[in-house]
Amino acid sequence: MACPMMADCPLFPMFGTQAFLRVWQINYCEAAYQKCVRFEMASEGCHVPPTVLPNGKHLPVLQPGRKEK
Amino acid sequence: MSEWFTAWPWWVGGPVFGVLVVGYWKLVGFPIGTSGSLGRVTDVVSDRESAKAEAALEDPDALAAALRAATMEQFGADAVPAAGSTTPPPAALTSTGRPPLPWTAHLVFLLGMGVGGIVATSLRGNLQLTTSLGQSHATIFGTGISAALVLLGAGILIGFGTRMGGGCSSGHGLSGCSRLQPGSLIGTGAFFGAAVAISFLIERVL
Ligand code: SF4
Repeated sequence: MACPMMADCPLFPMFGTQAFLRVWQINYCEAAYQKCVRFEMASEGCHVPPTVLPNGKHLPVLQPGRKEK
Repeated sequence: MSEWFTAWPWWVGGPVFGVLVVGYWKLVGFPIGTSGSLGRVTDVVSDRESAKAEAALEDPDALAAALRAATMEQFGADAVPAAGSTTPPPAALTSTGRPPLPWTAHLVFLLGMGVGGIVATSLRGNLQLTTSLGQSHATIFGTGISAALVLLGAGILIGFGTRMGGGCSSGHGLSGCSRLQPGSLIGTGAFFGAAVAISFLIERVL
């Protein structure tokens, strides 16, 4: 079953923009959304920053909470 | 009449909670959670840092590089085409289709809980200002400074536990359990089970 958060999740459409990014949709959104950290956080009422990936890591640009030098 | 019997009956409270959980989800797009809302209010500073990170990813090239690196790390280099491929970078990562509520909205939600409690108690005709936490509490923990210290310690434990567990009785108990989330079902079973066991023990000991 597909992830019920698809309509509101900003990463889902993002994962469809390039062929190699589809691997996220295949492995999480379409097959195993229950193990997606974004889904888990949202289900528990937590705010989900758009930079959090399904595996729980942040997109490697600037970690939230890290001070800019 | 005991406090128990002056409370609103379950057949009013239960459906109201049900409407609240579904209505909040439909209107806001996120599950309801009191500790989550409190966290949003106390996390104002880290949210600003998070917003900076989001802003950095509004640059399509930075976003493409970040997604490429993250995909490679998770699924291996074979899953990702060589750098310099002609596929266009993804558009900027904007926030959610439905943006999260600002911290001020969460503050209003928290204040509304207090106001709602006052209104509900007033409607039952038993609104009164009291510092008493009941006879059992006074018997076990005393009154005055010792009771205050116990409350302080309990509050710290609750705050620690809800942060560690990612939710509280509303987030896990109402939102998580109604969505059959395994973590929420286990968490709710654990904290309600512990509460029932301790209450039972206290009743027996007293
Ligand atoms: S990234 Fe996670 S939350 Fe978003 S649609 Fe996919 S499985 Fe659902």
